[in-house]
Amino acid sequence: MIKIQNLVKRYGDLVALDHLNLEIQDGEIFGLLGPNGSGKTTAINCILSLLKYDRGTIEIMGKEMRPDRYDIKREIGVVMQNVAVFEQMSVEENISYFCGLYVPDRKKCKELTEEAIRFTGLEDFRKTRPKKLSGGLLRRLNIACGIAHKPKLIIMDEPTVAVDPQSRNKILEGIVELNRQGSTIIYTSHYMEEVEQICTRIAILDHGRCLALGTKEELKSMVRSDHPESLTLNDVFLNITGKELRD
Amino acid sequence: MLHLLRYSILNSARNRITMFWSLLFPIILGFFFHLGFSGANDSEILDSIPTGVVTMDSSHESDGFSIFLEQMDGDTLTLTYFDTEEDAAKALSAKEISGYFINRADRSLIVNGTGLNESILTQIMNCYTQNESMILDIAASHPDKWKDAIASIEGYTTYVEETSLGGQSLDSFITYYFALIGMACLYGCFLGLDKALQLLAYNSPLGARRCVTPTHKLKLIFTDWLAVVILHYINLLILLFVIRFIFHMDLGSRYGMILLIALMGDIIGVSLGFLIGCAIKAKEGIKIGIMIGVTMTFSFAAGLMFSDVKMVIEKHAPLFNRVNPAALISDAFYCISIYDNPERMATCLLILSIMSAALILISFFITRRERYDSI
Repeated sequence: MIKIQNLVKRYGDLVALDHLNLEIQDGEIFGLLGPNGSGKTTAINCILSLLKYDRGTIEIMGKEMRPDRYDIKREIGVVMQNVAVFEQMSVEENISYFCGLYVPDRKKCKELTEEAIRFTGLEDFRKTRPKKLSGGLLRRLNIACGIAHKPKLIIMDEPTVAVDPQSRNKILEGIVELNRQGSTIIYTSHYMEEVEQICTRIAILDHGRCLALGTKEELKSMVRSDHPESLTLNDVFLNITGKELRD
Repeated sequence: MLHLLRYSILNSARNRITMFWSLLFPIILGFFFHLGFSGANDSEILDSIPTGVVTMDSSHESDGFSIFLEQMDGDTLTLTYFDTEEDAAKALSAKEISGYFINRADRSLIVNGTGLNESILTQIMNCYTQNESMILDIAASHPDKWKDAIASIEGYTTYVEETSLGGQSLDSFITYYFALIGMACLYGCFLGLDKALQLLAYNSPLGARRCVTPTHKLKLIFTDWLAVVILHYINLLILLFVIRFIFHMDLGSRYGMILLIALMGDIIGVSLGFLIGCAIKAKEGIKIGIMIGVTMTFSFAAGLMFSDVKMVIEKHAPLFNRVNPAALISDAFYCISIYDNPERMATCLLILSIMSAALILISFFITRRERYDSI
């Protein structure tokens, strides 16, 4: 689905991505982990062709990704880290608008909007404006806007930030369901337990490089421990990226 | 595209802050103009001047001058008759009258000051004396032309009607309203800026989300631009309606031209906001500050606060008036409502068109860039 080779991105002297190599297969829920400033969001922005990069190549669905590859963009859904919706439009209008950017057919767009509202459980809030929604509902709206057009590839950048456990659980169930319906998902988060819960493979990034890549079991096997059965992904993550503060 | 256009208009129309600046603020300002200016024209109508008449000799009681004064009694003058000059002088000292005529062989006028009333009385006296002298001369030298001379004086004494250069609108305060419309046009920049903020990935997450969609960037930009042009045009139509039918200002009768000028003003205002939103890489507050500064400078120079400023600029820096959108818009309105000068109006609209095209192209060029160094 995605092939990243030798990707280098610099912000002046700072190397944000340092020869990053990643390959994401069809049908995966691919977890992208890393401390703050490790390069996760930069990698995602490069994949989406929002950012220029200095070296390397990015292929999506076997085609080189460029800003004008509208055929590829049509198959991608994005759930931004920050909620990105129109405050002056209702839940239904927001979903319909973003779906309309991908699906020109109005009838089809209406059907997909309705489906996305049901999928995210926003039926009772379809006429509500975003500022009147709770944090969890707002995140669900953010997701609905990104997935309404039924994309083959969904990129989710920390979609569960600042939501309560109930809402988070609902969101995670939704992500698994989307994957079951055939979407490949790239998922970034700081919550290790949810990555461990839903991701089929996980990459740990730091200083713009991929330090570890594999299933959770493979990652756990990389760490030496007297009690390997009690190892968590959090232990693995801290072992690989270190314990010093980053911010 | 209609789908996107509809939502884009809806989104902007519901934004209370931008709609306040682009619609309500000009109407509120116009309302204050209306409050300040209404009745100001009425104050220019002069009260009749209290005037004394002393007829020293009964032979003058029904002569031409007495009849002339009587014709003005109750209109320009309010006459009070005195038997003696002393009584008239007392009334003048007590400021009961502004002056008094002494009607005798050597007719005279006594005033006690140099004010407007005294000047008018002096003018009346001089005018009558000159006409009388002219008639007597003509009667002596060309008796056959005597009747024509009388007719010409009667013609002269008919009321002079105040009119504008082009025979159109007369209200002296219309300049302020034209500048107000110019300012309102430019305030479309708030709508334009708002759209630009939603378009660029480095401006907002919303911009980033829209940038990664398969909708062509130029289509997105054009749809947003068109949406706010349509919306702000409606704003301007509302403002024009309020000025014409609620504030009762005479904007002239060429509604087609008025609508065309409003459209051009609308386009340049929106495009200006678009450009500021796209070209300046700064926080939203800074962009808004810059925009307010630019629009207020243009509006001030167009005569919004003091109508004479535009004239001063025209005298000392005429080029600035040729590139100031607010001045061009108010000038275009002036051309159709006051001067009746379609050529000058066409020039104003041509300059506005060129400027709008430049602003739009620069904005499109900046926003069409699809990959950023950083966001």
